[in-house]
Amino acid sequence: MDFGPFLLLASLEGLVMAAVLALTAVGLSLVFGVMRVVNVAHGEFFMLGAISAWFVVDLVPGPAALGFAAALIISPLLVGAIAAIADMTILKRLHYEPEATIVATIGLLYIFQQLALTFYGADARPVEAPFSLRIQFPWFGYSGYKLAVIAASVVVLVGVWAFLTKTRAGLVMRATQLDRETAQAFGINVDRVFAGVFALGAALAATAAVLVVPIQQAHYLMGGDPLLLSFIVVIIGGLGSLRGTVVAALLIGLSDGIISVFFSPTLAKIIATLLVAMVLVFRPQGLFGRRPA
Amino acid sequence: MMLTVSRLSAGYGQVQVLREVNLTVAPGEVLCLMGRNGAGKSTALKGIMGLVRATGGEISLNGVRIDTLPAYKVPGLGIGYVPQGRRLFSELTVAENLQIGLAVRGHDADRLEHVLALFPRLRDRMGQTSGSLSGGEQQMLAIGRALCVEPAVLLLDEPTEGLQPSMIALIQETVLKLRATGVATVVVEQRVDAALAISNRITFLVNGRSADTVATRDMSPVDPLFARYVGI
Repeated sequence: MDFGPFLLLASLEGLVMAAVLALTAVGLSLVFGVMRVVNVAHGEFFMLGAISAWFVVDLVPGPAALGFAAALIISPLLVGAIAAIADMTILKRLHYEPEATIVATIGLLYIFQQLALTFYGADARPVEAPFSLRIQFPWFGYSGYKLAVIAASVVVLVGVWAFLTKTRAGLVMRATQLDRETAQAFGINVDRVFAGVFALGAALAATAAVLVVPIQQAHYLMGGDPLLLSFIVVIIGGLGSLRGTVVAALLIGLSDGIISVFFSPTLAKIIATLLVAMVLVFRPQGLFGRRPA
Repeated sequence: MMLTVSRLSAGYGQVQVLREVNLTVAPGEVLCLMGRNGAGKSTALKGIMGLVRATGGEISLNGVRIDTLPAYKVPGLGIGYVPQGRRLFSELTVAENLQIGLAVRGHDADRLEHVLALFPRLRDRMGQTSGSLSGGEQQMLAIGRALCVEPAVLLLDEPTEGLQPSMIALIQETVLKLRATGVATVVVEQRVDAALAISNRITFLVNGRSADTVATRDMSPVDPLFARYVGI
């Protein structure tokens, strides 16, 4: 294959990764932005999304698309509910203190992993794609499902943006992010907002996982990579900046896809990590973050 | 509504700031809190709002205790709060800041119109982020946001701090208008002339305790109480 088509193929792979990464990382960024909680268990919400999708698809009879559509609705709701319960029973009791919540979410990470190992098992299991379509380019054929993943991620991200900027609940979240004490002085139940944001962040990770599980496989240890890459993306984009998170996801996803195809996946990870180190040294607030006052 | 604070104690963690603060303010009355820095004036207002948890004493509104309520329920009772330094949601627009206030008791277009009639300049700035407003406009918005709650009790923490004279006059005029409509107001004020111009009574705080409460009609700007309690 010539260089041009090869680059196009690599870019498409990168875009798929960027789309999934953007969804996952926006959830992490939202949680940090509003709650100031570094959620180390975020990758496990991704894993729970994938595993619950496998269960739902397995349980729903009929065509694969029906089970997948059910998973796309049920898994984010289920994982969001688990996250809201974790928030109300654990993080709230720790008064959302940064150090304590890091330790608590590390604990959650292991609890979720071991529960998945116990009830799902150690095997990686595939989930059938809802449709099988091959898009034929002049130089190569490409998975129609992967292109649908990109489109679905864009739709969800636009939905999140519209929710945050056009709805009253989004306004309340943004006000809480800016000044939680003043928010309370205007009748905002900050505990409820935090539970909602934690649930939304987890549901976004779960949505990303449901979309990706026909490409990867559901496994109880699959949360590690999305967590690491989400942190990389969120640090580069600027903690709490949703716009920065999306741009950084695009940057990391595309570079990972292209470098992995032309060189090696290991080199792609090395470059991403190097990029984080450079951002931390030269622009610690990230590309789109603001310096603390 | 009558706001009564009896023997209120409160603080931050282990640090006790208020030790038995007493004050009352009736409808159509302005009570000014004065004292030196660190006397507990701002903490007293935060204590009334529930933002600083009371460790002793009682706060009641028309005889009903409110200090046991979570902070987010206090504004819904009709208590508006203008914090020190305005504390606007700086990245939200003027309209969004006002919406946050309006949402406390259900959106009401008339209430918004009332606020915009008091501060017409805000009408031209509705789409602008509040962080980009001038100091005076920010204070108008902070007061406007609190008035969107349709408060029966209004708490103002140093509303004239850092403002130019014309803006101070506007804020004072607004407080007097609200007083005439029956709003009970507690205002923290450092400036003697402003305190005498707008308030009916002054309660002096000393080291977190309420000392004297004096009617302003009996006071002059050179009253020895100001030198004793405020150091002016």
